[in-house]
Amino acid sequence: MPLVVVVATLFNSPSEAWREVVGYGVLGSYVKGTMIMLLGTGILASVFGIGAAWAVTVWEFPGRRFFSLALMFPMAIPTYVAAYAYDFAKYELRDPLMLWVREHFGADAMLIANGVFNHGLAIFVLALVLYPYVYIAARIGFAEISGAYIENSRLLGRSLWRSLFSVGLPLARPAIIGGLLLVLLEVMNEYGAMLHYGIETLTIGIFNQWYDWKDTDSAIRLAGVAMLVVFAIIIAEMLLRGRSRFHAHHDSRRNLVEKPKTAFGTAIAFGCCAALLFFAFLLPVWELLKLAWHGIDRVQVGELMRPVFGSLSMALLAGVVILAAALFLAYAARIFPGLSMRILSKMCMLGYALPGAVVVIAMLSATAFISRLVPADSLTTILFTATPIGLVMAYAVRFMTPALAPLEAGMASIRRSMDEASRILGRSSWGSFFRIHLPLLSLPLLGALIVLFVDILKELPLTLVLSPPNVETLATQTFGLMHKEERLAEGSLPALILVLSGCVGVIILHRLIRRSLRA
Amino acid sequence: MRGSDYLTSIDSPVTEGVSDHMSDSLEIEGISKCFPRASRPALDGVSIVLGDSDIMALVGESGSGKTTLLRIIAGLEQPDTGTVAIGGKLVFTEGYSVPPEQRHIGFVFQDYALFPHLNVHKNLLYGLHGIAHRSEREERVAEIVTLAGLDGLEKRFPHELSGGQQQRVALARALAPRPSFILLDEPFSNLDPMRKDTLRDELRRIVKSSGTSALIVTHDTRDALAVADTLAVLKEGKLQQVGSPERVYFHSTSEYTASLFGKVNRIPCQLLEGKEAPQGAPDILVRPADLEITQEVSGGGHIVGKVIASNFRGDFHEVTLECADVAAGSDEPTRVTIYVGANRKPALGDTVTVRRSRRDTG
Repeated sequence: MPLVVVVATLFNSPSEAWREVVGYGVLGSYVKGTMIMLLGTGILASVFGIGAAWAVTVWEFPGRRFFSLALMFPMAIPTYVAAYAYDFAKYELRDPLMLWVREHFGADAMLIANGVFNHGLAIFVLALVLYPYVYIAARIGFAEISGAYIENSRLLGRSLWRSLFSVGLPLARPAIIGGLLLVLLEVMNEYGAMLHYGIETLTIGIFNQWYDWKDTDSAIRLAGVAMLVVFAIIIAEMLLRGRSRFHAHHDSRRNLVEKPKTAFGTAIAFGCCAALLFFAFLLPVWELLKLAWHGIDRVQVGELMRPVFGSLSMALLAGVVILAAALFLAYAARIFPGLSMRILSKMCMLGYALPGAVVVIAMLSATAFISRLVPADSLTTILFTATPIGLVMAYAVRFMTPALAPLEAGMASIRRSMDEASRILGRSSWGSFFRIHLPLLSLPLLGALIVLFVDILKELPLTLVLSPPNVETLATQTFGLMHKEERLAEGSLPALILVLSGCVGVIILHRLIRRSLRA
Repeated sequence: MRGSDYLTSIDSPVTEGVSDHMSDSLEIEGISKCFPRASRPALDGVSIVLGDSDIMALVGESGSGKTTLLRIIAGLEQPDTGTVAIGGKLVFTEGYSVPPEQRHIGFVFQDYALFPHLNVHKNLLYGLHGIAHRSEREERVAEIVTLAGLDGLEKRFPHELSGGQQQRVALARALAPRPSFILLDEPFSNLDPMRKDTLRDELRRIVKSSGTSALIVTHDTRDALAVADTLAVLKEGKLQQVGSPERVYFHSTSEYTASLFGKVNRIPCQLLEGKEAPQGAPDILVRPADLEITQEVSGGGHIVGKVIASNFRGDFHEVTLECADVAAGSDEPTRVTIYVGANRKPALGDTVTVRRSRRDTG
């Protein structure tokens, strides 16, 4: 529904302001910035992710089991937190470098170099915290490949390494591209980090037009452009996956390969994994700890408890609401199989692809639209000021996929004959749901709840705009203190709490996945 | 001469050997079903009567519509036309369908469909919510546990059971609410071949001692012959023959049914009956078990052939003869298969005489 309003607005005649946005090259710079970030982060995150997954799958080296888990931890660091944590690079690296450039090449060169440096740093930082999506997907991809393929390839006369390149990598490709899609969508969604590094992307543009220029029309149009980019990414993913849906090699659960044990290979694998873990996780966390230590005397526990409480209550409230809706959808799709239900659930999943800024614009303009039809001034108040209903709705739009996808997969793994057996033994379909499906879904349900919880805790743009004024969360406080007030020391504490809860979530998820793989 | 040995063309299903019962467990009439985008109907005017405490096996190749028929009886699928009556009560006719949970029947699924999060005891209790008192429910579970030989397994979860045990639990769960009858969908397909015969006999014993009638769907004719009181043969959605296992086996009413249940020789009438056979008489279908090798050579009813192949089959040898002496003057030599005791195996190239064994059947 909110999306309809956005699309409908796109067909209205453009306002004067929009002509300016296009005319002065503002739109062009937003699109350019977005493209650079997508391309750079996509490539770098793929290199990190595939490389890391490759190393822990193929090589046996000291600490391999540790690394295979620890390399997922960077996922727990919200992108904007990582950006602040890498702030030191600005002063310790960039400023001396820029001075040197100015001395040797002049001020113009320095401006260009500065832009390149900022983009480069932003790409590096984003890739460091987003690569786990590719890493996890690639590991699953490699794990699904039966060792029999590799063995067969070797028996046909190819060396182990040639076999891995010619058989292993292509077979894991669909999974890897799925992971890459998530990275790109996250880049589209990114607000805090881009703002921090002064990079003009479409998301930044939407907020700029909306807040700084009060130019709703242009903001909605920019949201339309952002949606176009997102659809282009999704279509590209579908084309790249295309016909190659060679998943599911269930017969052989053997591991991919034997591990070659050469001293050189061991050193390289260990070194790469350790370096990646250092830059992506240890260094930022160390920086945050340092900052927090400096500001420890200024911290009041009471002041800290408010955002903790706000975050927990919002994540719990929204998580439960979203899960309940997802459960209902998944079961409805099961008992009324049909095209319309499939389309409905696909539509609900679409929200995940939308950048938070687009969801914000869509929600607000939909509310404004309804308020115009039904003259009730209080609607905005009810939804966004007095209660967090609007925020929960926005979370639901954006985070339905991480809830619905595992539940649908879980439903699919419950055989049809279970439903039928339950019916024949005299239970109605709702009776069957509570007695059969709900208990059998407990594992995916828990997994979905954790993903939702961590995602909602980290979420920034939606929370920033739509949360009622009296609600403060860890994310908004981190952003407020670190970005707006530049009180890095105080801000690093809520940031650390975010990272810590993210890590706990990652560990629990890891266990859950291992358990469900064994079952 | 047994007329039904002759190949005859069958237009309508022939029902033999099923007597009328006072109250039949199941009566279906004229069931037809066509799935969307299918080239032919999955079921085409099928009528079956299942008598009280009768075990009927529904036999057919995959795609013959047998599972669809089972699901229609259970209410999991709706037919296009026809009626289904359970215990004399109509549960389906056009525009009226009782939902599966109210049909009061048992169903044993091919994959058993045991609820994985419930132990054996709770699986058995699942269908007993109609019994108000807890003690009565427990009593019934104890009864069915003893009947199905599940003592000591009550606390186990489905994944902790062997295939045979899982099947017994599924059977017990279906029987526990005392259904009008039970339906079994390919109950033997997931069993260890080595123990299949034992488990099959066990299944028959449990069903028989529960007094419930059963309709079993299977594609394995050996299982069907061993377990059923009555056989029903389905081909491409049409009922071919219904009758006792012996009748269907030795008095098949069509070549399809005959060859479905085992090897069958198609021999020109002249060859088998000698000169007495009328000119232009049709071929005769004879089971290998109905033929034997003999030394005497006299009169009609004898075939002389050369041994061209002999395969060891354990208890017997499957010997293939080529009979060049064709009275009817056809160019093709007739091949005849015979089962010969392991110690009387003829050598390759031997010329032997074959005649019908003097076993009286049906």
